[in-house]
Amino acid sequence: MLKRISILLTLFFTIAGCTPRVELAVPEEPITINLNVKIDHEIRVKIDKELDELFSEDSGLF
Amino acid sequence: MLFDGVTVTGEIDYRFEKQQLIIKRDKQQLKIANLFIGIPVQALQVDAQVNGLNIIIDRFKARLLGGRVDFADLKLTAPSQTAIKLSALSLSEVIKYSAYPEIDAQGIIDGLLPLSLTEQGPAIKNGVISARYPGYIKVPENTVVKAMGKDNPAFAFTMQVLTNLQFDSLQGVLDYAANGETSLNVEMKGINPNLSRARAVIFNYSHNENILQLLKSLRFNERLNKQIEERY
Repeated sequence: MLKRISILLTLFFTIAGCTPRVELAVPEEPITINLNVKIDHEIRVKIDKELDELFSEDSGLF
Repeated sequence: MLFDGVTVTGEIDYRFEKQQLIIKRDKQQLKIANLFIGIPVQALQVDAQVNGLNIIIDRFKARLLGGRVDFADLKLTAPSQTAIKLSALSLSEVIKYSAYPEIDAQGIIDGLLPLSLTEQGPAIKNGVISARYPGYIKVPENTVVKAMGKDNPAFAFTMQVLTNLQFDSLQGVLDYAANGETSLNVEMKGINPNLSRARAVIFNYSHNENILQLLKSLRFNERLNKQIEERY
Protein backbone atom coordinates (compact mmCIF):
# COMPACT_ATOMS: atom_id res chain seq x y z
CA MET A 1 0.00 0.00 0.00
CA LEU A 2 2.80 2.37 1.00
CA LYS A 3 4.61 1.49 -2.23
CA ARG A 4 1.49 2.37 -4.23
CA ILE A 5 1.15 5.73 -2.47
CA SER A 6 4.81 6.48 -3.08
CA ILE A 7 4.37 5.70 -6.81
CA LEU A 8 1.33 7.97 -6.94
CA LEU A 9 3.23 10.73 -5.12
CA THR A 10 6.16 10.34 -7.48
CA LEU A 11 3.75 10.61 -10.41
CA PHE A 12 2.13 13.68 -8.83
CA PHE A 13 5.48 15.39 -8.35
CA THR A 14 6.53 14.41 -11.82
CA ILE A 15 3.44 16.06 -13.27
CA ALA A 16 3.87 19.09 -11.02
CA GLY A 17 7.49 19.24 -12.06
CA CYS A 18 6.49 19.26 -15.71
CA THR A 19 4.18 22.25 -15.42
CA PRO A 20 6.81 25.01 -15.87
CA ARG A 21 8.09 23.24 -18.99
CA VAL A 22 4.67 23.63 -20.61
CA GLU A 23 4.80 27.35 -19.92
CA LEU A 24 8.24 27.55 -21.52
CA ALA A 25 6.78 26.19 -24.75
CA VAL A 26 4.64 29.33 -25.32
CA PRO A 27 5.28 30.46 -28.92
CA GLU A 28 7.52 33.44 -29.48
CA GLU A 29 6.29 36.84 -30.62
CA PRO A 30 5.31 36.83 -34.30
CA ILE A 31 7.72 38.12 -36.89
CA THR A 32 6.09 41.20 -38.41
CA ILE A 33 7.26 42.46 -41.78
CA ASN A 34 6.03 45.72 -43.24
CA LEU A 35 6.94 46.25 -46.86
CA ASN A 36 5.86 49.32 -48.82
CA VAL A 37 6.39 49.32 -52.56
CA LYS A 38 5.71 52.14 -54.97
CA ILE A 39 6.26 51.42 -58.63
CA ASP A 40 6.71 54.33 -60.98
CA HIS A 41 6.39 53.52 -64.65
CA GLU A 42 7.61 56.87 -65.88
CA ILE A 43 11.23 55.76 -66.33
CA ARG A 44 10.17 52.47 -67.87
CA VAL A 45 8.00 54.24 -70.46
CA LYS A 46 10.94 56.48 -71.38
CA ILE A 47 13.12 53.40 -71.88
CA ASP A 48 10.34 51.85 -73.93
CA LYS A 49 10.36 54.86 -76.25
CA GLU A 50 14.10 54.59 -76.71
CA LEU A 51 13.71 50.89 -77.47
CA ASP A 52 10.96 51.70 -79.97
CA GLU A 53 13.40 53.93 -81.87
CA LEU A 54 16.13 51.31 -81.55
CA PHE A 55 13.95 48.63 -83.08
CA SER A 56 12.50 50.86 -85.80
CA GLU A 57 13.07 49.89 -89.44
CA ASP A 58 15.68 52.59 -90.13
CA SER A 59 17.68 52.20 -86.91
CA GLY A 60 20.17 49.95 -88.70
CA LEU A 61 20.38 47.65 -85.69
CA PHE A 62 19.50 44.49 -87.63
CA MET B 1 -4.95 45.91 -78.13
CA LEU B 2 -5.20 42.41 -79.61
CA PHE B 3 -8.39 40.43 -79.85
CA ASP B 4 -10.04 37.62 -81.74
CA GLY B 5 -13.34 35.79 -81.87
CA VAL B 6 -15.62 38.83 -81.74
CA THR B 7 -19.37 38.25 -82.03
CA VAL B 8 -21.91 41.04 -81.80
CA THR B 9 -25.59 40.23 -81.76
CA GLY B 10 -28.32 42.77 -81.36
CA GLU B 11 -32.06 42.60 -81.07
CA ILE B 12 -34.20 45.68 -81.05
CA ASP B 13 -37.96 45.71 -81.31
CA TYR B 14 -39.61 49.12 -81.42
CA ARG B 15 -42.72 50.87 -82.66
CA PHE B 16 -43.95 54.40 -83.06
CA GLU B 17 -47.05 55.27 -81.14
CA LYS B 18 -48.49 58.78 -81.03
CA GLN B 19 -45.20 60.17 -82.42
CA GLN B 20 -43.23 58.46 -79.68
CA LEU B 21 -40.65 55.74 -80.05
CA ILE B 22 -41.49 52.82 -77.82
CA ILE B 23 -38.82 50.20 -77.39
CA LYS B 24 -40.31 46.83 -76.59
CA ARG B 25 -37.12 44.86 -76.65
CA ASP B 26 -33.48 46.01 -76.61
CA LYS B 27 -30.88 43.32 -76.14
CA GLN B 28 -27.30 43.62 -77.36
CA GLN B 29 -24.56 41.12 -76.82
CA LEU B 30 -20.83 41.37 -77.35
CA LYS B 31 -18.62 38.32 -77.09
CA ILE B 32 -14.83 38.32 -77.40
CA ALA B 33 -13.02 34.99 -77.21
CA ASN B 34 -9.57 36.45 -76.56
CA LEU B 35 -8.67 40.00 -75.65
CA PHE B 36 -5.23 41.23 -74.67
CA ILE B 37 -5.26 44.43 -72.65
CA GLY B 38 -1.82 43.79 -71.17
CA ILE B 39 -3.13 40.71 -69.42
CA PRO B 40 -5.17 38.07 -71.26
CA VAL B 41 -8.95 38.24 -70.92
CA GLN B 42 -10.92 35.28 -72.25
CA ALA B 43 -14.56 34.43 -72.93
CA LEU B 44 -15.66 37.99 -72.43
CA GLN B 45 -19.40 38.49 -72.67
CA VAL B 46 -21.29 41.74 -72.28
CA ASP B 47 -25.08 41.84 -72.32
CA ALA B 48 -26.30 45.39 -72.68
CA GLN B 49 -29.22 47.64 -73.54
CA VAL B 50 -28.53 50.51 -75.88
CA ASN B 51 -31.26 52.94 -75.05
CA GLY B 52 -30.26 55.97 -77.08
CA LEU B 53 -26.98 57.03 -75.56
CA ASN B 54 -27.80 55.55 -72.17
CA ILE B 55 -26.03 52.24 -72.41
CA ILE B 56 -26.74 49.87 -69.55
CA ILE B 57 -24.60 46.78 -69.05
CA ASP B 58 -26.98 44.13 -67.75
CA ARG B 59 -24.25 41.60 -67.26
CA PHE B 60 -20.49 41.44 -67.78
CA LYS B 61 -18.49 38.27 -67.39
CA ALA B 62 -15.01 37.17 -68.40
CA ARG B 63 -12.22 34.79 -67.52
CA LEU B 64 -9.24 36.58 -66.03
CA LEU B 65 -5.99 35.40 -64.43
CA GLY B 66 -7.19 31.85 -63.95
CA GLY B 67 -10.53 32.91 -62.43
CA ARG B 68 -13.63 34.92 -63.26
CA VAL B 69 -14.71 38.54 -63.17
CA ASP B 70 -18.42 39.44 -63.12
CA PHE B 71 -20.60 42.46 -62.62
CA ALA B 72 -24.16 43.43 -63.39
CA ASP B 73 -26.40 46.48 -63.84
CA LEU B 74 -23.94 49.22 -64.71
CA LYS B 75 -25.16 52.38 -66.41
CA LEU B 76 -22.37 53.76 -68.60
CA THR B 77 -23.38 57.36 -68.04
CA ALA B 78 -21.99 58.82 -64.81
CA PRO B 79 -22.85 58.76 -62.01
CA SER B 80 -23.48 55.05 -61.55
CA GLN B 81 -22.17 52.14 -59.56
CA THR B 82 -21.91 48.39 -59.34
CA ALA B 83 -19.90 45.72 -57.52
CA ILE B 84 -17.25 43.74 -59.39
CA LYS B 85 -16.98 40.17 -58.22
CA LEU B 86 -13.66 38.39 -58.58
CA SER B 87 -13.77 34.63 -58.15
CA ALA B 88 -10.92 32.18 -57.88
CA LEU B 89 -8.16 34.31 -59.39
CA SER B 90 -4.87 32.47 -59.35
CA LEU B 91 -2.27 34.24 -57.19
CA SER B 92 0.52 32.85 -59.37
CA GLU B 93 -1.17 34.34 -62.49
CA VAL B 94 -1.55 37.72 -60.73
CA ILE B 95 2.15 37.67 -59.83
CA LYS B 96 3.12 36.60 -63.36
CA TYR B 97 1.88 39.97 -64.68
CA SER B 98 3.21 42.01 -61.74
CA ALA B 99 6.59 43.66 -61.28
CA TYR B 100 7.94 40.41 -59.74
CA PRO B 101 7.13 37.54 -62.11
CA GLU B 102 9.94 35.42 -60.64
CA ILE B 103 8.05 34.94 -57.37
CA ASP B 104 6.60 31.45 -56.97
CA ALA B 105 3.13 31.56 -55.44
CA GLN B 106 0.04 29.50 -54.88
CA GLY B 107 -3.33 30.81 -53.76
CA ILE B 108 -6.92 31.30 -54.85
CA ILE B 109 -8.13 34.88 -54.57
CA ASP B 110 -11.72 36.14 -54.31
CA GLY B 111 -12.77 39.76 -54.18
CA LEU B 112 -15.57 42.27 -54.14
CA LEU B 113 -14.77 45.67 -55.61
CA PRO B 114 -17.36 48.48 -55.37
CA LEU B 115 -17.07 50.38 -58.64
CA SER B 116 -18.28 53.97 -59.04
CA LEU B 117 -18.45 55.57 -62.42
CA THR B 118 -17.85 59.31 -62.11
CA GLU B 119 -17.37 62.06 -64.72
CA GLN B 120 -13.60 61.40 -64.42
CA GLY B 121 -13.96 57.67 -65.05
CA PRO B 122 -14.25 54.45 -63.03
CA ALA B 123 -13.00 54.31 -59.43
CA ILE B 124 -12.94 51.66 -56.71
CA LYS B 125 -13.00 52.47 -53.03
CA ASN B 126 -12.47 49.90 -50.28
CA GLY B 127 -12.49 46.83 -52.50
CA VAL B 128 -11.78 43.69 -50.50
CA ILE B 129 -9.80 40.65 -51.57
CA SER B 130 -9.04 37.46 -49.66
CA ALA B 131 -7.52 34.04 -50.18
CA ARG B 132 -10.02 31.21 -50.26
CA TYR B 133 -7.56 28.64 -48.92
CA PRO B 134 -4.07 28.68 -47.37
CA GLY B 135 -1.28 29.13 -49.89
CA TYR B 136 2.31 30.30 -50.18
CA ILE B 137 4.70 32.81 -51.66
CA LYS B 138 8.35 32.01 -52.28
CA VAL B 139 10.64 34.88 -53.17
CA PRO B 140 13.82 33.52 -54.77
CA GLU B 141 17.09 34.60 -53.22
CA ASN B 142 18.67 35.94 -56.37
CA THR B 143 22.01 37.67 -56.58
CA VAL B 144 20.52 41.19 -56.46
CA VAL B 145 18.59 40.39 -53.26
CA LYS B 146 21.69 38.80 -51.72
CA ALA B 147 23.83 41.81 -52.63
CA MET B 148 21.27 44.22 -51.16
CA GLY B 149 21.08 42.20 -47.95
CA LYS B 150 24.84 42.14 -47.47
CA ASP B 151 24.99 45.57 -45.85
CA ASN B 152 21.44 45.53 -44.48
CA PRO B 153 20.76 42.66 -42.03
CA ALA B 154 17.09 43.69 -41.54
CA PHE B 155 16.48 43.47 -45.29
CA ALA B 156 18.36 40.16 -45.48
CA PHE B 157 16.18 38.72 -42.68
CA THR B 158 12.98 39.99 -44.33
CA MET B 159 13.93 38.34 -47.59
CA GLN B 160 14.84 35.13 -45.77
CA VAL B 161 11.35 35.05 -44.18
CA LEU B 162 9.79 35.56 -47.61
CA THR B 163 11.71 32.69 -49.21
CA ASN B 164 8.92 30.39 -48.02
CA LEU B 165 5.92 32.13 -46.49
CA GLN B 166 3.12 29.60 -46.01
CA PHE B 167 0.06 31.71 -45.28
CA ASP B 168 -3.15 30.63 -43.55
CA SER B 169 -4.89 33.87 -44.34
CA LEU B 170 -4.45 36.61 -46.92
CA GLN B 171 -6.69 39.67 -46.82
CA GLY B 172 -6.40 42.95 -48.63
CA VAL B 173 -8.01 46.28 -49.43
CA LEU B 174 -7.85 47.73 -52.92
CA ASP B 175 -8.44 51.30 -54.06
CA TYR B 176 -8.38 52.47 -57.66
CA ALA B 177 -8.60 56.06 -58.89
CA ALA B 178 -9.87 57.11 -62.33
CA ASN B 179 -6.32 58.03 -63.45
CA GLY B 180 -5.18 54.44 -62.84
CA GLU B 181 -3.43 54.99 -59.49
CA THR B 182 -3.99 51.82 -57.50
CA SER B 183 -3.18 51.04 -53.91
CA LEU B 184 -3.29 47.56 -52.47
CA ASN B 185 -2.75 46.77 -48.79
CA VAL B 186 -2.43 43.08 -48.07
CA GLU B 187 -1.94 41.25 -44.80
CA MET B 188 -0.71 37.65 -44.87
CA LYS B 189 -0.55 35.55 -41.72
CA GLY B 190 1.36 32.30 -41.64
CA ILE B 191 4.72 30.74 -40.93
CA ASN B 192 8.04 30.09 -42.59
CA PRO B 193 8.61 26.38 -41.80
CA ASN B 194 12.29 26.71 -42.75
CA LEU B 195 12.76 29.18 -39.88
CA SER B 196 10.26 28.01 -37.27
CA ARG B 197 7.01 26.08 -37.20
CA ALA B 198 5.91 27.76 -33.96
CA ARG B 199 6.67 31.38 -34.74
CA ALA B 200 3.96 33.23 -36.62
CA VAL B 201 4.79 35.57 -39.48
CA ILE B 202 2.66 38.62 -40.24
CA PHE B 203 3.49 40.13 -43.60
CA ASN B 204 1.98 43.55 -44.33
CA TYR B 205 2.49 44.47 -47.95
CA SER B 206 1.49 47.80 -49.40
CA HIS B 207 1.69 48.34 -53.13
CA ASN B 208 1.14 51.56 -55.08
CA GLU B 209 1.21 51.51 -58.83
CA ASN B 210 -0.55 53.04 -61.79
CA ILE B 211 -2.38 50.05 -63.30
CA LEU B 212 -3.15 51.86 -66.57
CA GLN B 213 0.58 52.49 -67.06
CA LEU B 214 1.38 48.89 -66.08
CA LEU B 215 -1.05 47.55 -68.71
CA LYS B 216 0.38 49.97 -71.28
CA SER B 217 3.87 48.74 -70.49
CA LEU B 218 2.77 45.06 -70.69
CA ARG B 219 1.09 45.73 -74.06
CA PHE B 220 4.28 47.41 -75.27
CA ASN B 221 6.35 44.37 -74.25
CA GLU B 222 3.97 42.03 -76.08
CA ARG B 223 4.00 44.21 -79.21
CA LEU B 224 7.78 44.48 -79.17
CA ASN B 225 8.21 40.70 -78.78
CA LYS B 226 5.78 40.08 -81.65
CA GLN B 227 7.56 42.60 -83.89
CA ILE B 228 10.94 41.01 -83.21
CA GLU B 229 9.58 37.50 -83.77
CA GLU B 230 7.88 38.50 -87.04
CA ARG B 231 10.87 40.39 -88.41
CA TYR B 232 13.72 38.09 -87.44
